[in-house]
Amino acid sequence: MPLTTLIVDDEPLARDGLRVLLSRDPEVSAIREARDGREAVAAIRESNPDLVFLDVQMPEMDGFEVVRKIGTEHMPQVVFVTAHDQYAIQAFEINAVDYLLKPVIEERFVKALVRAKNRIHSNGTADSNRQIIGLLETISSPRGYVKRLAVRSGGKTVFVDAEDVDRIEAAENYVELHAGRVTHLLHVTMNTLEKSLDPETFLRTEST
Amino acid sequence: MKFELRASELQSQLMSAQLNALKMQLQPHFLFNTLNAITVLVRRQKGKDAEEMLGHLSDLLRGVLEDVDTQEVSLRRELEYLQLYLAIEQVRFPDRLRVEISADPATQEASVPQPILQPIVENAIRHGIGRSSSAGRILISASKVNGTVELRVQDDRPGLSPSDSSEDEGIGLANTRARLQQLYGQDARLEIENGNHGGVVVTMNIPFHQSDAEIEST
Repeated sequence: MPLTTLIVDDEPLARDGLRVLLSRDPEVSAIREARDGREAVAAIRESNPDLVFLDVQMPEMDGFEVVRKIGTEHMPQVVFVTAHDQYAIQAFEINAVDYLLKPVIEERFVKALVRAKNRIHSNGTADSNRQIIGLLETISSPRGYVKRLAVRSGGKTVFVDAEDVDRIEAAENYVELHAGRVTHLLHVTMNTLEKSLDPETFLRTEST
Repeated sequence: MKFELRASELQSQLMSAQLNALKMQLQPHFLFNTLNAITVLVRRQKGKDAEEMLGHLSDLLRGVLEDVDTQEVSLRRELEYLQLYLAIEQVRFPDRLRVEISADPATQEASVPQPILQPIVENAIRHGIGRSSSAGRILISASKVNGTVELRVQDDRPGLSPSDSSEDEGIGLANTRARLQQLYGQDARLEIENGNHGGVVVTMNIPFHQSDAEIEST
């Protein structure tokens, strides 16, 4: 399935780096570039790409403002790319697919791209359940396993420490997160979630 | 007892000042974007360019770490840092940055806080040049004026409007102002204004003194 993309960054080298990585994927059919927030807004309105790689810190209009200008309901899927990790929570609050830290390393980039494709291909089901959006925070764990799970509930994003989770049960496209007396619903499949969890902490069992 | 307390208080103030200076010089934003640029050069198999940039970055980091205990350095050294920093910025923004530096030889050995020019220049790049997305020019000059070293950084960004608050000045400028106040009190000054021919000019005056009066923390 062809994928149209937009790269937004004010540094030519940073754009070039993402372009090289994107062009290695045969499914990517178009790569556009924007040099700042204003160009990004124009490019999104004009070509409505499937996926945007969006730098957070840019002159005049930053990445979050781009999303505000377009409006979350019209915004294509977004992967934020930034030198800082201080914006992670903000990024997850607007339901970004992923959050890449600079320097962007190919292996990590590919994971984000896979995640984005999954999200794009399952868009129908994701849209109908916007109020319950579960997001994974993968940035702070050195081995790449999730330490905290971001759960959208009652219009707020709350974090649940992976340590506090007693068990996780699969329910079609969702999983139920049982932590103490609270149960959260996350819009993620068990297979996706399992890859993000430390196998030393979580053990998969099949119900009979 | 009282003196001891005083000393430890001063020590901790000094430590936090050093840490701030270090953070100022090693802005994470700058550091990680530079590492990203190097990563891309490697990906593009531009080994020579990557090597050169790693060299500049290493020299810059080494310098920062060496001077971390020092409140002041000679202007000559500060200008060396600035050159390294600019060499990196020029790779990151090749089409956007033209910098001219003119320093009166009489000011070379003058002691200045470290870092002093780099945060101002970074501010100009981010708020001026970075903002316009087109080529920008920065003029940096150092001269001896009325017993002070006068440092000027002039860019060609769109001028300041009266509504620009001090918050818009950028963190680099605010930190530098605080630093000058802390080290020299009323004897130093920092002014930001619109240039005569457009652009924004930052002018700093630091009491002229030479390195034997360096303030060491040890």
